[in-house]
Amino acid sequence: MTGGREVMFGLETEYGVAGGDPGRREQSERLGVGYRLLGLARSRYPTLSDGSATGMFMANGGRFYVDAGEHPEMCTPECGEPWELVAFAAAGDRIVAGLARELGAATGGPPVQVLKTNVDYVNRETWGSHESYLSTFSPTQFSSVLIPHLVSRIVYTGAGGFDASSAGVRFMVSPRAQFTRVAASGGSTSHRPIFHTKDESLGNAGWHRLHVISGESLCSGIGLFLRFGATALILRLAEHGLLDSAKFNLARPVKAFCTFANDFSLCAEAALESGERRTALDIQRMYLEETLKHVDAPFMPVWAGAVCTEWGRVLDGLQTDPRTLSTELDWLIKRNLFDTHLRAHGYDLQTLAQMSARIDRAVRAGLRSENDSAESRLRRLLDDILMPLIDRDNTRLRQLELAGFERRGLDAIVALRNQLAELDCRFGELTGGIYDKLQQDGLLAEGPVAYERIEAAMHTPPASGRARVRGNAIAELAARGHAAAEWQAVFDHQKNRVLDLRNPFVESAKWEGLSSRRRRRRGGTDAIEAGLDLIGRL
Amino acid sequence: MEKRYRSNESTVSGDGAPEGIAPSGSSDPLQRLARMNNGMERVIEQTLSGNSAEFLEQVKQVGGQ
Repeated sequence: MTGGREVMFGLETEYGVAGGDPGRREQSERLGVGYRLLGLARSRYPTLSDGSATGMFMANGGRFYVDAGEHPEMCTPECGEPWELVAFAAAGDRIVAGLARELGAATGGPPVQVLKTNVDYVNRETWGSHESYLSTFSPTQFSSVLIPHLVSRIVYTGAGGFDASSAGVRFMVSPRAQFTRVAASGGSTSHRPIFHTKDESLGNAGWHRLHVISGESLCSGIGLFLRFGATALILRLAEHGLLDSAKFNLARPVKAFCTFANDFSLCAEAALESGERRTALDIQRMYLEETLKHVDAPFMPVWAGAVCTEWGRVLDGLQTDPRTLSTELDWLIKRNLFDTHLRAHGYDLQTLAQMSARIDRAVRAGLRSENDSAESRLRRLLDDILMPLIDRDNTRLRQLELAGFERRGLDAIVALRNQLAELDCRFGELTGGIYDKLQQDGLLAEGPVAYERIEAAMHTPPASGRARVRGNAIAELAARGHAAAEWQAVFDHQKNRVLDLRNPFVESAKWEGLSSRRRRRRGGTDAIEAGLDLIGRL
Repeated sequence: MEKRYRSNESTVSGDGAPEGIAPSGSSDPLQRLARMNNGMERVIEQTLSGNSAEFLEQVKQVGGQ
């Protein structure tokens, strides 16, 4: 350990991409946007290759790349406190937004739209927003005490959105929950878990990484601040054996996650293993109380008290009158947004939720009662799973008409559902999205981080830790070339030397000659040797 | 210059909070909510493409995590 108080965490954000003339932009053209953004980033920012043709590290210490699925993805550098994390996450968004604007202007075509969003309502897929927390323990041993936190924190970390599997309109506090299948697993695209068991340390022996994939991309600064601040403090308590799993354990975690994610009254309860029933707010209160007992302990970060103050304020607001947080938290801002749009059309979310339950029952009944071949029924079921929004052949509408719904009313609901899904996707659009518009109009509460700090984070690395050393080395080497970077090292091929960053808290750049390093190691492979092999092939 | 976040935050103080941070609920949150709701309709009008189904087709995911 490093003196005890230090904490380190980071955020990966997957972005959706759209743009071009509706109906004319081919998927392959859209997929190329990620690579063109990368190419532009290389010419606009000091960067070093990450050892692949599809990514780079930047002088702020973060990483920008095209991920599997060919969407652009930005990783913050490793940050040491939640304000820093919020600043670097916003800086990453601003970097990508600037590149998207420039790309659109350069091509003379329609603007490129980059979306920080969570749900693909056509394919029923999800974009990831993954957290990493450094730990001195293998995180798998903390699953029982962390799962109830990850399930209940959505009261302030929920992005808001819709149930993509519903034929109607069902608002969710945390739409990512609908893609969760198991309490714990190592999968990230199938068998998605609440608690991810992957432990790829990206550091020296003795370091581990808790990788959280059940969270959602947020626009709210305070939501992101609490997401990292509260989770890091709870992890710290778990590392010191101060959380009693018997007090928190949920009887059925995935069911509890879905229950809380669908409950915008915040009154729904889930069963604990002890037999008691608790709301998400109750569970968060329990975690906050445990944290406050140890807030001044020598192993807690210096900012623990400030996080607890905000955590308590937000839980109080949610308990007494959630409207008081309606200009601060993503899901509450979105709920107002969607309600505003629905009211203009004579609906509200509550009424539509009830109507949607009837619609879904009718759709299910229709599917069951069809007198088709097994193959045909299977095809219809697959259509229902894969194409929940766009009812191209009106199959679902016909089923609903048979079930007594009026066609005109159903058409209106389908149109509204698509509009609401578009509003959800455009909420976090990086170039002129809804959140940005509301903020620029002064309609939202101010966030926790100064604008100037975000501007600085676009170009300069965090104040401490290996990200600072990495970022400074990249700034020095980018113009010269013949160098590459990864999380644990920077390689300078011109001077035949390597900067070892396997210690996450390294504070100064100590370059080592590659030949002397190899002599000293006398064979064997470590992370740096593996990186050298990779980069040597470039 | 657009002002998106607090502009008075500077360094970390003794209790770990950046100096100059006012409590987040310092202005009346219900008044802020009323103002936000008044501005929502205009933002929605500015935002919707007019062909939401087509927009959603364009955005659809290929292989996210």
